[in-house]
Amino acid sequence: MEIKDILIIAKEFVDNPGARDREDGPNSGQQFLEDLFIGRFDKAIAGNYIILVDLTGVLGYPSSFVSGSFGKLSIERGAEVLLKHLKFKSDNNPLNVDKVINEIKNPTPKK
Amino acid sequence: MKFLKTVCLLLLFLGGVAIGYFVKNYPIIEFNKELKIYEVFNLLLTATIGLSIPFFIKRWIEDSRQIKNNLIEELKDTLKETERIKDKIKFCYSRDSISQSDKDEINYLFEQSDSKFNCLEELFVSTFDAETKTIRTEIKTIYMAYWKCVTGGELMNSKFVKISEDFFRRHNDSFSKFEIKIKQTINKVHRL
Repeated sequence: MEIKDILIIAKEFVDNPGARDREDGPNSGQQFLEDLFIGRFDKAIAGNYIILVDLTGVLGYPSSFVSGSFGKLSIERGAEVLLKHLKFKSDNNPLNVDKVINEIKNPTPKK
Repeated sequence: MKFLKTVCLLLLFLGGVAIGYFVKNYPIIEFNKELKIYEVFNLLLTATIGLSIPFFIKRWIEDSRQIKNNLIEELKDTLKETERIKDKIKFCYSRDSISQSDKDEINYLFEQSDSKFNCLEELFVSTFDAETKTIRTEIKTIYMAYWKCVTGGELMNSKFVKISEDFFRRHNDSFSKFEIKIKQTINKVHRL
């Protein structure tokens, strides 16, 4: 499978992600998931390609944001599908990739 | 260059011939004819080993110590960097309020701390990769748990405007676990 879409979070969403759900505050994981990500993710599944999610340039990822976006999607669709259609990169901080992949593999359920 | 090499080889050969000639015709040292050739080799070998072992072992020990010191310094720096997050939370707790910019700063401090963590990981991989695999996984797990504890719950909620007693206690417990792990790792590095 080849990469046919690149999503740069800092440019296409915000560089200061926020909480988990919309009701918790601005720039939430839910907002990112529903307004920007899920549509492109569905297209990637239908077109059988990979989206490269670029995590570079963000001032820091709160765990609540990662959980409300990638974690929530992983609970709904399963980690295997996400890992099949998503690739991550972070030029300045490789640990961010580990954080997201860890959340996809072990999603935090909503408390 | 090739010419120079040929000249050097020729000079060495002529030197060898000259030494052989002088030793044969004008003996300064009387060789004991009963001496076996392997005994000479044995003596030379013992002398070489005796002189080279302390030199190489000392150097190897010093190099290894220096690498371990660098690792320990990096571990201490990582802890120091993560302590900035703890200090920030402590400050907000004692001030009895936390703003959105404080929360952004905490996320940014985690990003800084991550960078230090990445450096540490690279240093471990380039020096004691196989020996430290378990240690690295353990530190990473505890560090991730600390990140989740601080930024994974109520902190990012816009209604969370002051650090609660419960949050502060959970944070301190999680930080302590990370601090203990780093200090244990320093001891393990000493023993590597």
